[in-house]
This record gives sequence, C-alpha cells and structure tokens, in this order.
Amino acid sequence: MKKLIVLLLALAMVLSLAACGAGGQAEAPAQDAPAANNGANAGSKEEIYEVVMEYPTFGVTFPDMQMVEDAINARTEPEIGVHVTFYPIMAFDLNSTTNLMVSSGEKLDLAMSMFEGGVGGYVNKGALIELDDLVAEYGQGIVEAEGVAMAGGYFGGKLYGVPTEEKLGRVKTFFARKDMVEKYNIDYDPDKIYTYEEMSEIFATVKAGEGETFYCIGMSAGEDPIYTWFDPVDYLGASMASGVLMNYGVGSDEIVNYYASENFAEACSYARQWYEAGYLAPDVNTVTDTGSTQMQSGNYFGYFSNGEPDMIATANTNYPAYIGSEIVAFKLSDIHAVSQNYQSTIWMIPITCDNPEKTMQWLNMMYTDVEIINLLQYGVEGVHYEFRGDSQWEIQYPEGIDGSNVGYQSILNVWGDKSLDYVLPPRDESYYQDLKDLNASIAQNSDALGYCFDSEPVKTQLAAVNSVISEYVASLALGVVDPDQVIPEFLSALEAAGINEVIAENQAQYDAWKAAK
Amino acid sequence: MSKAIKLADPARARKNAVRWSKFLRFLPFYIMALPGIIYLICNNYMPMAGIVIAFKNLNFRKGIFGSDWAGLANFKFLFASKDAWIITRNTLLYNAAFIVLTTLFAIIIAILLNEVQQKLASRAYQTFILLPYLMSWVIVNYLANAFLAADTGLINNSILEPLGIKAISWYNSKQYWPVILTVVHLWKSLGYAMIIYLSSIVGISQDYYEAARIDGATKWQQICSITLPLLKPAIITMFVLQLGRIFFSDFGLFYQVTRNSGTLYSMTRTIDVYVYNALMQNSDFGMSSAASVYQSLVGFALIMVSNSVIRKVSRENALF
Repeated sequence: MKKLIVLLLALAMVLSLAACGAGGQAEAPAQDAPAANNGANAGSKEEIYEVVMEYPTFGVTFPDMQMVEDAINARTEPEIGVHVTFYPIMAFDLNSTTNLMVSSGEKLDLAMSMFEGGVGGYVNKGALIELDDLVAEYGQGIVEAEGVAMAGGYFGGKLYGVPTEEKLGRVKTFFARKDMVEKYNIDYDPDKIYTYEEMSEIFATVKAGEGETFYCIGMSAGEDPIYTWFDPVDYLGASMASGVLMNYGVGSDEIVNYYASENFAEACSYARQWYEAGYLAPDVNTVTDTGSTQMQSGNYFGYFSNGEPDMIATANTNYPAYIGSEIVAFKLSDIHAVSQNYQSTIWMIPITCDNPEKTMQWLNMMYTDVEIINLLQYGVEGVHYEFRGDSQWEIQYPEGIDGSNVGYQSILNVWGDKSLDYVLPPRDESYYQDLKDLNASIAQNSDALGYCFDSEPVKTQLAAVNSVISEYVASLALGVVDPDQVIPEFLSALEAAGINEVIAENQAQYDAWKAAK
Repeated sequence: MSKAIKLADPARARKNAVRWSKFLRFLPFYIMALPGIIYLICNNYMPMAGIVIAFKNLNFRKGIFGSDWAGLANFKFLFASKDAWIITRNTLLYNAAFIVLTTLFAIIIAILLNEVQQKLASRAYQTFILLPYLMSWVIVNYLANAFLAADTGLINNSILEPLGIKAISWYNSKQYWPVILTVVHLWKSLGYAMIIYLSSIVGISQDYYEAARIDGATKWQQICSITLPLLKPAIITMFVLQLGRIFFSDFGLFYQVTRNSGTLYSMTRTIDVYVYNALMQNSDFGMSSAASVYQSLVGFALIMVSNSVIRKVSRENALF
C-alpha cells in the first residue's frame, strides 16, 4: 500500500506540469451562461444584452475608461439594446486570453486578433462563429467601410472575422534621417523605387562619413527581415513557411518556396555585404529593440517601415523630438493589396457569444457611427478633446491637457472604420483626401485576395518547417552567416522538414478555391 | 465464512488488531495530512485527465472529451525533423551536467559556509549566493548581454581588446555556449541547492564533531567521515528529484540567455525551445500537450529506474 501511494506521488510529481498546460480548460463551453446585465440596470430592461468585448492595451488603462463606457452605453442601450463592457487585455496576451476564455466558456462576445496572420488558428479549434449571414443581415455598414479589406477575415471560403483597415494598400519604404540625407547630398526622389544596389550606395556614403560605431539600418531579429521589404510576395493568408505567390499575387497561380528563389539568394547576399561592411550592428540577429527604438539612440541612419502618407506624417511628428530630424521615405515597393495587409487586426465573434445578432449590430455601429468611433478613440468631447474652430473633423486637446495627461485615449486604434476618425494636429482634413488618393492608387489587387491557407492537414510538417525557419532565417537574412554556405543547408533542412508537402497542400487548396470562385 | 476462518486463526486476528491499533495511533497524523492530500488530488490528479488533449484534435465547440481522437499524430512533430536527436541530446547532456555540477558545488559551498564562525558574515554570504536565484531570466539575459555583446560587451571591450585579442561575436559562435550556459546556470541556481544542503548540515548533531575532535580528527577527516555520510540521504533525494526533471529544460536559460540566436541552435536548442519555436505561430494545444506528456513519461521512467538502482545499492536511501 505504501509503495502504491509513493508510486502515485512520484507519478503526480512528474505529470503535474504536463497537466498544468491543460488544467485551465474546462470540459465544454457553458452555452447557458446567463446574459447578465450589469447590476446598474438589472430588472428594468431585460431585453438589453451585455456585450463583453476585448479592449487591447499596452498595459495602461486610462482613468476615464468608465466614463467612455457609460457614454457609449447611453447611446447603445436605447438604440440597439446592447450594453457594452470593455475587457482590457495586453495586446500581446490577446491570443492566449481569447483561447482561455473561449475554451473555459467564459463570457466573451467580441474578440480581437492582432498580428496572428488571420483567423485560421481559432477556426481550426472551433472557437468562432461564422459571420456570413450575420454580416449580410446586420453588418452592411461594415462591408461598405471595409470593401476589399474584408478578404482578411475569410477562412476556408467563409467569413469569420472583420478587419479594421482604412488603408487598402501598403507601401514598403526605408525611413532615413532627413538631416543626413541632406548632409551627404543623397539624391532623393519620392516616387522612385529603390533597389538593393541603390540602397547599398546610399549606405556606403553614410557609413563612410559617420564612422565605426554608426549603423545604417536599425533592425531586430523579431521584425520582418530585410528581404520582406524588397520582395513583392503574397503570403496567401499564412506565412512564407507555406509558400507564396510572387509579384503580389498578380498574374501567377504557382505557389513557390520563396526561400529557394533567386530573390532570397540575392537578398541574403546583400544582407551579408551590409553586415560585413558594418551597415548592420554586429549583434543584429539577437537585438530585441525594434528598429524605430534603435533610431532614437541617434546612432542609426534609418529603418524599414510601411510608408503610407499617414505613417510618414506620424514619424515626422515624433522624430524631431527624438533625434532632431525629420525623416524621408525611400520607396522600396509600389502600393499593393494582398490578404496579409488585412489580417493585422480582426474582430471576431467567439462561440461563447449568446447573442451574435446583437453583437453584430454593435460591431456595425463601430463601423458606421462617427460619434461611437470617436468615443472609442478619443473619449468624450469637451473632456478629452474639442473641435478646432468650426471644423467637424479637426480636433485638439482642451486647455491644459496634452497627450501625457489626457484622461482617455485609445493607444491602439482598432475601432471600426478608422477613416471616420477625427484628426489631431498636426494632421488636418487633408488626411482624408490623402487616404482616398492612396486607396484609389492601387493598380491591381492580388488574385488570391480572400484566400487563406488552412494548415490543419499538414500541421506536423508546418511545425517542423517553422522550427527550421526560426533556426536559420534571422542569421541568414541579416547577413550574420555566409549565404553561399548556409542557404543549401537551410534548403535541405526545409525539405527534410516537409516544406514541399506543405506547399503542395497549399497549391491544391488554392486551385480548389480558385475553381470555386 | 471469513468470520469462521478469522476465529479459527488467532494469529491473523491478532495481526489485524495490531494493524487497527496502529492505524488509530497514527490517525491524528492522517487527519493532519488530509488537507495536503486533498490539495494534491485537486491540484495534481484531477487536471491529469487533461492529458487526453495530447491524443485529440482539440475543438472548443466539442469540448476536451468530445473532440476527435488524433491517435499519436500530435507527437509526430517532435520527431519530424532531423533535429530530434540534437534537441534530445542537448536537453539530456546539459541537464546531466547541471545536476552533477550543481550538487558538487552546492555541497562544497554549504560545507564552507558552515565553517564560517561569524554569524553575520555567514548570513551575508548566504544572501549574496542566493540572490541570483531570485532574479528573472529576462534580467539575467541583459546581465549576460552586458558581458557578451559584440560591440559594447565587457569581455570584448575590457578584457580581449587590451590583451590584443580580436573581438568575438559571442552570440554567433556556438562553440563557447556549453561553457557559458553552464556558468550562468550555476551562478543562478547554486544558492538554492546550497541552502538545502546547508540546512541538512546544520541539523547534524554537534556531538559527532565533538567526539571526533577529541579523538584528534582533522577538519578534512570530519568532513569525509561525518558530514558527507550524514548528508547522503539528502543528496540522493535531491538527485532523484532532479533526475525526474531531466527532460524538462529551463526555458528561460536556453531561450533568454542565448537571445534565441539561430546560429547557436545546434548547441543550445532544447526540447522546450524547439516546442516554443515550432508552435509559436499556431498555438496548437494538442501538440504542446503531446510534448509535455512525452517529457513527463521520460522523467517518470528515469525516476523509476534510478530509484530501483538505488534500492539495489543501498536500500535505506531509496525514495520508495
């Protein structure tokens, strides 16, 4: 008997950790969780449905959040019978929190996915409600606001999420210090698309002038590597691990292994050249600060960034204070529209939502109602902002308040249609025209818009491929190792891990999707 | 019928009576242990049902037990790449080295500390040695980086450069990492292991030492013939406990301190880091559970084997 107990204890000891990971998940989501109202209006209005929505933060919640919530509910309760409750979560914890809440059946009506590459991970776990019918019935405002960007919310041909994109295209650029561009008389043409070779020449000039401890490119291992800034690819709603379409998905149906392409080899050889010439910091593949943070040290010439007009405007507001110079954006790509652009922030309705209809009505309001959108983004008029003169769109902080002491402001702007946001200085109404121009300037959308790879059938291979990529790509793409030697090794490791099976599966799914379209 | 046998067998009846009285005598202790046992059942046994996740395609809609069975498919990714051997080797060898070295150094330091006569000094040393144990790996990562950074690091800047040696890109030179990781691990974990041994040493009765001194034993003889033998049960217990965790690597050490540098992987990647890198993107519960079930089973097997070996060698020191 004693032996048995001790045996069991030993078993428990080693297994308790294994069970830990699973312990948080209860058996089945409680479908009958009562749609309780807040205590405040219990009893009187039974038809009011409480929508619990995730509210992404960077760890700080503003003191007046309750005031904003109340102001929103003053509108939503009489109009659509919805009581909105914010559930603040650190942006980095969104994925784990959503998974945990849904798997344990906690009440959650509106979930946000940020930078996870789409909704596939949730759909394969059965965590989401399909939105096609709901959007058709209650969400027409969403469709009008998002247009082609709706492509980001599709998985397996069905809609599971609603993106929050006001910009329909992206432009890849290199943000460089304006003072240095002028100091070294660098030829700058805002409409020209720069190549590796041309950027090399610019870096060489700057490095020669600034010396040993000055680096040209601020970059960390966690950010998109150099090649992604030069290469026109469509990730097909997933990542490079499962193959890509070249030329932003225009005109080609063949899914290819990007790492085996000429482009990747070229990118790595330039990266190597840049690393050896000291344009990149020696520890660049282990640095954890982002490029824009490194810029603020003053020891860097520039960093890679998306460079739509509003991004450039924001950078030019911030950088003079950090480094004493504005920035100029060297264009590296044309404006393009691919699914991955629309997958960065997505609203989803999880299965723990008891009343998807009302939730969708609230979501629709977030995409159509100017007052609600700006309540969420800027807070209450007269308290957190006021209009500039007679303008209906230009706002400013009230007397004595600035960005540092305002009682409410949303740090992450993920609220519905952002083209209905008011604008703070230095932006003015021209912002709206710029946005329209930008969206109109997209020449051609990717053919694969709305297609999203379902990795479930090949998840074993994909996990192994991802592991190989994490081993090689950061050092290869930042020039820390010799590409001539390492690329062949990398490619054979990818093949051994099964990248060809993954790509074949992707191609089969894509062909089927295309045929059905 | 059984009653008849019992009556007919007074020896057995007596035995039962003894057992019963023994139980009654120890009853208070059982009752005292009850909260702990209940806690253990609730916290360690009930969630164990979740192990089934490792064999399922988890679907929230169907719940854990309603999800479809996946057989052993979730385990496949662990062995899918050619790295399976490397990560297993790294995990086992590093942990084996850590166990041996930590035990060795912890005992040495515990004995030395025990010999420090001044109370205040002894307390101060203990605290200093324990301090790193309380630090987060993220902080250790930055401390190590202050030494190892290629351009601003202490070693390259203040040691190698004055000596005229070319700077080393530490985060891209894998050959140094077995040593670096071992040093960092020892620096961080010694304090805790040392405290356990020190408390055992303090518990040894002074009478033995007094008797030994009267007989003219030197310090070294006292250590070899009194301290170490009396420390043996503690060493064996700690050893077996650590052995059970040999397949679990310290994620903070292998991920944070190496700054997840891909060029070091063949020397530094352990199972936990591999699982993290492979599943970061799709957070697949089935596959992550499979990985920890696999680690647990290996750990369990190791505990059983090592304990039975110990039981063969010296019965009274075995855990069970």
